[in-house]
Amino acid sequence: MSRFVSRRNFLAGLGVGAGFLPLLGSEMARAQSGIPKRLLVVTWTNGMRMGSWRPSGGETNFTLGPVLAPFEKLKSKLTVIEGLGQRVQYEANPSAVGWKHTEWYGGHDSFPAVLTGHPLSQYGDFLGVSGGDSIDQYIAQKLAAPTPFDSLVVGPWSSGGYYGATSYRGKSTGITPEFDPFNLFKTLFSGRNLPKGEFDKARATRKSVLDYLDGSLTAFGSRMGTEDKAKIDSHLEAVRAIEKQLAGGDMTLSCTAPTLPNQFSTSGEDSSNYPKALTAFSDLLVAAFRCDLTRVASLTLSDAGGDNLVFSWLGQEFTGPGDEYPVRQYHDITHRAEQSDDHRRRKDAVEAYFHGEIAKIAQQLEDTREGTGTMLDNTLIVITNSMGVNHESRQVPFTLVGNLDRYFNTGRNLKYGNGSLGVAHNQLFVAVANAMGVDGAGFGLPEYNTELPGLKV
Amino acid sequence: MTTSASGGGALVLTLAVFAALASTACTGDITGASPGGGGVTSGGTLGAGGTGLGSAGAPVVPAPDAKVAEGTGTMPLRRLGVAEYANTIASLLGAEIATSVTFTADPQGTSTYPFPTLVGGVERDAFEQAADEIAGKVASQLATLAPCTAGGDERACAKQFVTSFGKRAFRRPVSDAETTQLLGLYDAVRAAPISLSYVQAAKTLLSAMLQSPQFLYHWELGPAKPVAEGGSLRLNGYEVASRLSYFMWGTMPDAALLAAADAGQLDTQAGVDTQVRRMLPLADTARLVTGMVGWWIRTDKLAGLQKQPSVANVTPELKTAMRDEFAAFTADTLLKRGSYVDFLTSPNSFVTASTASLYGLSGSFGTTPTATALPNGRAGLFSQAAFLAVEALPQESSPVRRGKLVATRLLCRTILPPPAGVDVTPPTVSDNVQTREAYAQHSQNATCAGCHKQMDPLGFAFEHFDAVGRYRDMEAGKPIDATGTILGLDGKDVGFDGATAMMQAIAGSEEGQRCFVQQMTGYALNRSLGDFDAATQDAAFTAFKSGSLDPRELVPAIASSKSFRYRVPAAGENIQ
Repeated sequence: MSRFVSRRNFLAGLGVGAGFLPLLGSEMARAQSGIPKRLLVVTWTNGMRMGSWRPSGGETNFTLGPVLAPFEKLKSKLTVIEGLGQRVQYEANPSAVGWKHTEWYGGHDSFPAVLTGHPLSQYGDFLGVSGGDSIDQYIAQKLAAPTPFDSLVVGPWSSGGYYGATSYRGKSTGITPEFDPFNLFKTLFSGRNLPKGEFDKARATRKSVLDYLDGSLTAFGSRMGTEDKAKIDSHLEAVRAIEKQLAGGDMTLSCTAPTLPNQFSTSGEDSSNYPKALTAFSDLLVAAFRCDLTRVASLTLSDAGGDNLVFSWLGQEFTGPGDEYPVRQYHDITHRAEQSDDHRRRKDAVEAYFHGEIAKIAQQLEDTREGTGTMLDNTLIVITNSMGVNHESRQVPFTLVGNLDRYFNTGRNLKYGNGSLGVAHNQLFVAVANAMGVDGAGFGLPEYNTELPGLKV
Repeated sequence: MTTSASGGGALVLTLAVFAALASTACTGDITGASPGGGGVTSGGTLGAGGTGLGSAGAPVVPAPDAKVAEGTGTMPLRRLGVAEYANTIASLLGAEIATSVTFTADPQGTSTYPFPTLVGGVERDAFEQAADEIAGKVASQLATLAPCTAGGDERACAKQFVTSFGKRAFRRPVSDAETTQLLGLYDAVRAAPISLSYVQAAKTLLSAMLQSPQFLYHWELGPAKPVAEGGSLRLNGYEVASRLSYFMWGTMPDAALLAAADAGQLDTQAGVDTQVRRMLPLADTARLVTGMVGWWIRTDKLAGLQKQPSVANVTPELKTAMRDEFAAFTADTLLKRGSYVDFLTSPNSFVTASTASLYGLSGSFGTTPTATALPNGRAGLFSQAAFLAVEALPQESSPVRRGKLVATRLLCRTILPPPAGVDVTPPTVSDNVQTREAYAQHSQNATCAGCHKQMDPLGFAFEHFDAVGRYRDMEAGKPIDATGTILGLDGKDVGFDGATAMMQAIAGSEEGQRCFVQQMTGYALNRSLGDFDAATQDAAFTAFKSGSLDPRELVPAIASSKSFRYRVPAAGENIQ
């Protein structure tokens, strides 16, 4: 079965790629009251060669290394943060996951914790379950923005389920990222390809079914225990998100839907269309921010293992023989990363590719005027990874792009901690919540709920 | 990392892979690790604490004590898995009605078997699209499902449809309140401005029922009050019917099971036993053993199986042949012959042209699996191609992966992942270095040996079989050494030479036999097992043992047990 949850047959004939389409299902006609703040969190796995990621030089007069080089044009909008780690995993709990915390090895199992301020939990399932909200979902819930979507959770390469998820609501299993850009397009910018009368009828029918499901889910979960009811609540929330979207009525937006390329396959374990999918998601996320369809998004670039990601588009040497697979894939590249100059170059090239794609998103925001500045001035992109070097999560990279309406003092390279165990990454997330206008003190474990000092203007 | 071609399996992959890859530079302090130790896991998944008052203000259950003494555990809410959904639609509407929608794969749960994800936006979308697609496809059946004569009372026809189809879709009678809700939907779409026709409205009802929680979740109790009995809750007849049918068939109850529930026959141990023995010989019961064993050896990975071209040309036909052999052999030994021992040790398998070539068999074989005795000392499922090829690297065998699978699935031992900082790149095998030699560091380095002595030797038993499962006498110019020792098997260290001898030792051991009982109990209950399941497992083991290790005696013993037929209330549950 495909690792992509695809509904391509359903989408056939949808006509995506038609460029501008009249939009519906949003409340966008309301007058813009002030400029919204927006958050995009980008994560993936397999860590990086920290020496290639880390800038050289001082706090303000630094030079970007090969991994962050694609951000050269936006250097003044960066905050590169060293010395943060998944401290919650090492100190707070981990007996719950079956071995002593001194033995916690981070690694791929840390993936569900990358955006949460909690150790993993055993809730309802085995490993790979978060202990609490991820930062994007924490903020989305507190923000309760008047947008059709309180958050978007997407990724071009996810195995789905727990193992591919980085966004979590509460102590639970993850939110499966949408990994079909055509489906996201449809969700965000449903075009009216039916005659007006038929369309209204179809939408009204759909709304009636959703009303019924809302009622039946509510009754269904009413007697259940706390954990079971939480599962029904997740389902109910998903139903209500669509109800909310339909309730807005139809209208034409003053923003433009992006043009997607012609339908392509993202099926199976063939990653050759990965760059196309990532570009499509980038365009859709930027458009969703421009149209104020959401203010919070998470973009997950890989699943927890990086399996089957073959970077054929980076050159012939990326399709050579691998260790675990016939062809060299992301996990292989990472494990060999220190073994020769060729391996080092390949690992750095992969990480530079990922950062380059994120830089393109940032540049699109920077190129859009908003208020007296640019959209990037009202946006924060948080870039991190579930690991640092050698599959460990004691120190993980963090790069911020944007200042979020002059909250962050950017253009700096900051160093925290003074040992192998980094300062709790929770504290950065507390700062991100505060910067978004949400009280960050409620995020994650209480022992790490103070804002990381030294970030603000 | 290995691939998760089709089925989630998040955790098992991680553990298996790290164990599998470790290591040329195996260092780190894992002296606190405690590998080995069969038996059940402790604890179980208990609630997070009561909330004091339920939504209706009724008294609710406080957090249960971790040591549940009633002989059963909780029944965590679970929705239909990917295969269950497909099978259920086929049972409900016919095999020709299938959806093209692909759902989120089911990852591994606490039971170590698949447990579906939460429903979020992506899953909700998929369920809606699948239901609409299915409702569109059943057009020709609607006259049968929701008949209504011209000029008749269409609302009454709709009500009849909701009650009759609903009982099968919800796997229990539809309550009055639920009927009212569904008729509310019917009225809404019939009225202006929507103004659907009767047939269109019936399709909408069908789609809505397929998206409803009553269809999608295993909670056949519905709005009914649970049956309190002796400190536990006894599952009512419909709950038992569904638990039985999804355990044994992977699909909804048939008419006879629902009738037995209607008649109250599933409220007793004897009644359950009668149904299980009726169900056992039916064809769908093959899903019990192929579903359980297929998850052990991850047959879902066969679709994406890749080997270095220099090792083997893995054709689609070969993959199909491997899967067919696994399915035929597993069903034949465990259900038809009824022999756990044969499953682990019998050379009599089912071969098609592709596997015959791999096994070096002469004679003519086609695409239909043909009963054949395998050569070269192949005996039991674990010396057949499906297991050997999946649990191997692209260019060589993997003693660690193969050994870990035997340790965890056939002996129910716990193998911890490697500690931080370990280089988990697989050892390098070359023209001069045998696989076994390359893995020798695991036993020489004391830190590694603590865990690896529990698994590597079990994997060495299979060294006569290469990366794709072909037989070999020599590797790197030297004879194969397939000797090893199972540590602490029934309390003794047991030496062996080759896979057959090892499997005979496991099949003859109480640890191996009890592990099979534990595996099937976990599969049946789909939750982690606890100390409170000990009585169930002891009784099931006794039935299995006295029944000559026939799984057909084990299945009814599990199904009629207290662990299967009862549960304890969940924390915060309203049972009044």
